[in-house]
Amino acid sequence: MLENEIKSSPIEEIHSLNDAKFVNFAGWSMPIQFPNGIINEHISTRSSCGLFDISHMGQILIDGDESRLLLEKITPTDISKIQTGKVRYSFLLNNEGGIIDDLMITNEGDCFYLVVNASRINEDLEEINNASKSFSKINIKHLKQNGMIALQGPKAKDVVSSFFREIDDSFFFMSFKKFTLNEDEVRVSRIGYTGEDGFEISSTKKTILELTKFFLDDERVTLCGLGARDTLRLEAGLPLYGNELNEKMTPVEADLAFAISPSRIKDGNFRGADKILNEIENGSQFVRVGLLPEGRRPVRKGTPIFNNDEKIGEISSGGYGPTIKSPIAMGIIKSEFNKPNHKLTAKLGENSIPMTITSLPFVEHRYFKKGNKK
Amino acid sequence: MKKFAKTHEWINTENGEVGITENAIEQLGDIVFLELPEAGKEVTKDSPIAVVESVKAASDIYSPVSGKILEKNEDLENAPEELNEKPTSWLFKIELAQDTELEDLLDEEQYLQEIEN
Repeated sequence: MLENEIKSSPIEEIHSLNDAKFVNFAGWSMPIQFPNGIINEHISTRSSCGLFDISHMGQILIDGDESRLLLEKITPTDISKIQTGKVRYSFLLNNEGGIIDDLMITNEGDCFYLVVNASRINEDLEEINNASKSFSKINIKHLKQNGMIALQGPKAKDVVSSFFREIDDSFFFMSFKKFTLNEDEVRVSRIGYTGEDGFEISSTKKTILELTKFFLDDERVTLCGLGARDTLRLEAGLPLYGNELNEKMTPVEADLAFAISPSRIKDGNFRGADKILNEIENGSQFVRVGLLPEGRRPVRKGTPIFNNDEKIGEISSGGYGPTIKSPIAMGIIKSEFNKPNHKLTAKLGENSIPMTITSLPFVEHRYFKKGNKK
Repeated sequence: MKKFAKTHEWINTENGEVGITENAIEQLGDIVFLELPEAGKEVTKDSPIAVVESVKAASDIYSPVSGKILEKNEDLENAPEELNEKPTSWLFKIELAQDTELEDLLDEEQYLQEIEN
């Protein structure tokens, strides 16, 4: 396949049958929405279960004796603390502490499974391959042919366990299990990008197609596109690479310092540690914040943010929150203006839209964690 | 009779009502915000005079003719999601400055051909 050819999902036929509107996203032709619309898909996910095609996400397997050392070189995560069958959120960092990508790292026991952004797969593979040169016996495999779906929402567990009977209440948020189906490996993680309880499932084209058809036969499940995925993640206050995250931003600026392992902070031995530790101690120059625009008009990515007459940042993601029925946004602003309930202004041409800094998320997360009631 | 602009507005030549086409509404998806021009405002043909925002994106609405705004559809401005339910709704009424401007607009068949391409 040519590098610049538009890639299509292994389950594209399902989208076409369901009259999807397609959009080009990071070199992939993916459904942005289905005929009932983004708001319907969004609300169905929050109230029952949405099924999302996320086959565009990059999937990488890393094995070999020194793969833990490789991952500790390029992330600020204590990889030894990730137990077998557990998933951790992390970043690939450059030498200045900037975020090359944000990703999920799973310890499969005999290897590590990485899920990265579609828009960053080339940069990620290049970085991982370069860094691997200083280690021996490391195998890096890009699972190009795999498809992946996400089932998200309060009914997702019942839906998924109707097929995978072993998925029960001991399988908490950030857990991982590997199954075999049609002699194919099936990777199931209890994670997601909507703020809801949910699962991501990866396998071969044939098996993902079969699983998708099975789940879509369940009346609790609504097929959703990337449009709803974006409104759900924005309400959940989750960052998107290219909007909130880029190579010039550190995890502290992105307000994601929680994902840096305490032992790595103590040892100060990760990429960009000097800068990042200083930011943890003294604050960063810029920071990601949640913003509630007044009125009904959404503010969009790239809109300048003002404190009185001074430009202090930009909207990084903005739109309409179907659950809270009002515009919502995130922005990157100068940290000195990050005070709870502080009023800022978005300048849209001649219009000024007042906004209030608010804590994230906009809609509470409902992950299934240990200690949660069933 | 309705006449159409390439930028997806229509005008009812009998009563001066202006709206956006069902095709445009279909493309926009769920509409969440409308900003309509105030009565009395003088507008020129092809200038941006209103804003429609869907969940996905923001879009300008252009005046298909020059003239004066007589009235805006306030009910719709207060409940923009109803435009998805009633996509033939008018947005504002305009008093034409020159009837000849209507001749530059497309008829329905021409408009449908235009969006086919």
